[in-house]
Amino acid sequence: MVRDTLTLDSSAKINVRNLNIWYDDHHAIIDADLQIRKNNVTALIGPSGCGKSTFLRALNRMNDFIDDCVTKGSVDIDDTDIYRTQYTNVNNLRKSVGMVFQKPNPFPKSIYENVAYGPRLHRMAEDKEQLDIIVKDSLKKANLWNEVKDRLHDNAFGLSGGQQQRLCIARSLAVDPQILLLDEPCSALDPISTHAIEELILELKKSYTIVIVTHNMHQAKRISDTTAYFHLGEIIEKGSTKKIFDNPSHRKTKAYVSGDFG
Amino acid sequence: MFIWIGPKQKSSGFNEDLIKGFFRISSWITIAITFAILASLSYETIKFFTLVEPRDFFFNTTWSPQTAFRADSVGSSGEFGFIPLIWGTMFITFLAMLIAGPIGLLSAIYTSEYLKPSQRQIVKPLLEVLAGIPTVVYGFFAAIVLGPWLREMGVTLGLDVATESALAAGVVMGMMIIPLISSITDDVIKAVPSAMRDGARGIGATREETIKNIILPAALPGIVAGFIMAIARAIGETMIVVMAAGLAANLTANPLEAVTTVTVQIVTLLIGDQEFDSAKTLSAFALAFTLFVITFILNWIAYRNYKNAINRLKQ
Amino acid sequence: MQSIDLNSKLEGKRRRLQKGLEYACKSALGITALMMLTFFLALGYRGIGAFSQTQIEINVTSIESSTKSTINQSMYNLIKEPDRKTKKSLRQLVTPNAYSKIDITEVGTYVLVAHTDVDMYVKGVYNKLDEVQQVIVDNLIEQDKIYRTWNWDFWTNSDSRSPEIAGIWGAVVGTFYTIGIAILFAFPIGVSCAVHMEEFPQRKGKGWKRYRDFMEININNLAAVPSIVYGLLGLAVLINFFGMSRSISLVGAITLGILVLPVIVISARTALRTVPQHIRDASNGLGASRLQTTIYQVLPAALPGIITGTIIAIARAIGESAPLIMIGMVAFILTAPSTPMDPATTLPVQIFLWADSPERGFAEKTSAAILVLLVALVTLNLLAIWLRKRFEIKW
Repeated sequence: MVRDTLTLDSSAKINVRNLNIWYDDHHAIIDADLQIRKNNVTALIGPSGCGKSTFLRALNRMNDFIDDCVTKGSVDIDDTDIYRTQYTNVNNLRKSVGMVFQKPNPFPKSIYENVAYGPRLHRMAEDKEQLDIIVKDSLKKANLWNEVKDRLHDNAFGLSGGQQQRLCIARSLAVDPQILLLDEPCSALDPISTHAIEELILELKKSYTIVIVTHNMHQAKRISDTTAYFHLGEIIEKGSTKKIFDNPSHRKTKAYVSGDFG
Repeated sequence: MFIWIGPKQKSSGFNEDLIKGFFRISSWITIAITFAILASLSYETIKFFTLVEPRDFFFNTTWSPQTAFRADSVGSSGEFGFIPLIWGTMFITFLAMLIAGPIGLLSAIYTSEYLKPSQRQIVKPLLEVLAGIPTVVYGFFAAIVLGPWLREMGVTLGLDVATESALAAGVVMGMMIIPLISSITDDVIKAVPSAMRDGARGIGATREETIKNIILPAALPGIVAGFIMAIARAIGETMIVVMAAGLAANLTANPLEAVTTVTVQIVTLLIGDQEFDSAKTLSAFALAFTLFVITFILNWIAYRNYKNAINRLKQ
Repeated sequence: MQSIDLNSKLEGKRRRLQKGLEYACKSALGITALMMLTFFLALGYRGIGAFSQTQIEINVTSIESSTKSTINQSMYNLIKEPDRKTKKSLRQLVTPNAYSKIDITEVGTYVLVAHTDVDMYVKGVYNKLDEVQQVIVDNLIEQDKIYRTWNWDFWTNSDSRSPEIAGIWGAVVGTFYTIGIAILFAFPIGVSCAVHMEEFPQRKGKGWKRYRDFMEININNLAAVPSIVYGLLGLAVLINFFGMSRSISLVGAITLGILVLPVIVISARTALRTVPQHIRDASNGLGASRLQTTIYQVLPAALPGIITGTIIAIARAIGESAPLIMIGMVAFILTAPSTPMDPATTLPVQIFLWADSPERGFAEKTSAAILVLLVALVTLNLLAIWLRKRFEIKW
């Protein structure tokens, strides 16, 4: 494993150390170390089935829902290990570390209700007016407000794929996260919607820390600052996006980014 | 900026543990029901077996609980042999399956292989109508319509057909079971991957040949499971036989005669004012317990095979 | 190069199989259709008579000491100087209970329900009238004093010894009480059990897996247990052990509730399973606990399916008669129950009792009651289908 050019940055928002994850007997993540910097976009790339999603899900403990999944190691967010703390309020964790999934998954409710769900859950608004403000803000931040402001109470399923995904982003933004985890958010979308979301991500990174798993190398090149290359559960190489793509150190990385492999 | 990770807090508006506890208790209730059934049935059955030898019960071929009452000693081996009862049950079930088996199977083949989806949407629910008819209605039909009609037919043909013939009960029971067989068979056939069909049609086999040589063999375990489930249902059926089958135990293979079944006897023995502890009433529980065990075993085997069949097909 | 032969037909054995199988399948469906047709036609034919009732107009010219005698006297007046035997024949032209439904204090014409023998004669079912009765009846028919009208008694009366005024109302009320209470506790328990099994799998470990398998087998077995066993359960536990009284709807309700519980659990589980996993993921990802996700997202989304399944379970419960017979809901119910603790019966049991009756006038009543029951069930099923189409979420 090649050490990257980033030094151990103690101001890293997320610091993953020695992370190992098993699904039953399958060793899915092997000795992973990674620092995610604040207000950066970090891309996790690699061929399918190499554990990128598993790694991502470890960052907000979504793997807890899977039987037979064992996690060892530490994930420090702002210097607190979210796994070792005995009384981790996991629900609060997920409020602050939001996740957007591969296939847009709005709730079968109205657009308004979708965005309002999170704030309601966490009691973030004292009355309806405050809630309305939160909903409007989130939809604006997700670049969706103008398209839906006249039909907030329509069913979310009526939106196009790209709009639904932006709705899911708005939904996560509504609970005021600090970190956003995006699991291949554009793989189910057409190029135009993809572009819209990529633009959105570049805007969002000014206020949030973003980790994105992507299959699409060009996407990683377009929007990320840091990239980590995963291969069969190990992080083979990590570093600034420019370096990884233009001048990778490891031959496996080189094979992947040049398209010989995967 | 810190992410606040603090102690576990009850942030929800309701008491989580109370509600989850209610859910858990609801699950336990279902276990309690099974336990109650087993306990009450076996308790009475054991009491029964203190009065009547198990060997007599299981192997005797005469069933006339009346004699036990007439003889003064309670323990007199009045005839509690249950073989004629189980024979009656199986005989009527057999007749029912003779009807329901082929009809259910062929109907299912038609609905799953021949019909367009729009037609299927109409025909399938129509078949289900048969399943929704209350069994007392079937019993009425068997006793008041079919039974006498068969008897009349018999008279014109010179045969002696009892009004409570096994045939009448069996035919109606068959009607009731058709949807059970057809819907399970349909499910199984639908589960056969289209890749198999395509493979056969692709080399020029006709639809019928594909069905006969490829699909049915693949679906067979599931179909058999469906048949077993139907048999279990027929064995446990009460109203049709109470109304249309006879009351006297009869070890015969003639469908034109009347036979009695396990379920009929259970009902007959418990209706009316009996002392709860007499051998008669207790025998009903012994019968019910046996019935419970038999249907449990059959359904377990069938369900397991059905699940396995579907899983294997899905691969 | 040989060209592809597109024109020749199938030959011999292959053709026979092709034609034969299709023909066999169609015949199977045809036979089924024929059976169903015969079934419904036979019922309809036998039952249609019960919807009309024969009524008789009497002329009251003198008021006697009681309504009963008044009615009797007006019947005697139809024949000059009737002897004792004739008087009896005349009396029996009117339903035996006529005097209890009406108070005759003035002279005039009154309409009463005719006796079942007259009813059956008019409807052409059988003729048990003696000579005197026959003559009188034919006369009265010609004078339009005996005629058939819509049988309201069938709908508003409870059971009776006289088939001409017997009705299903008592049984209908009993059915409502019994099924209503049964669902009242089977629904919440059933849905909770389903939620527990689907949304809160137990902790990891081999022991827990065995527990889950056991629950699975248990529920599936309970759904397949013959209904009569539930009747025995009710008999042994509720009546024998707890000493509850026989033939009250509360006992029937508990028994039916237990019977229908596994069905509700299974259909609720299926409904819960159709909710895609990604909805749960989205909710959990926003920081909701499992319970919150279940209550706020999963259950509402699964609700249409759960309700549809419950309605179908209700339809099944309504048709059950064997367990209720076992626990004794076979009493002769003269008035509709007013509380769940009153003796009651349900419509299918009523049908069973009437079918057993030697009185021939009950034959048409039984068929008619069956028709009512079937219509109710069809309506319920259509309701379930409509609900599902209207409210189901297309993922």
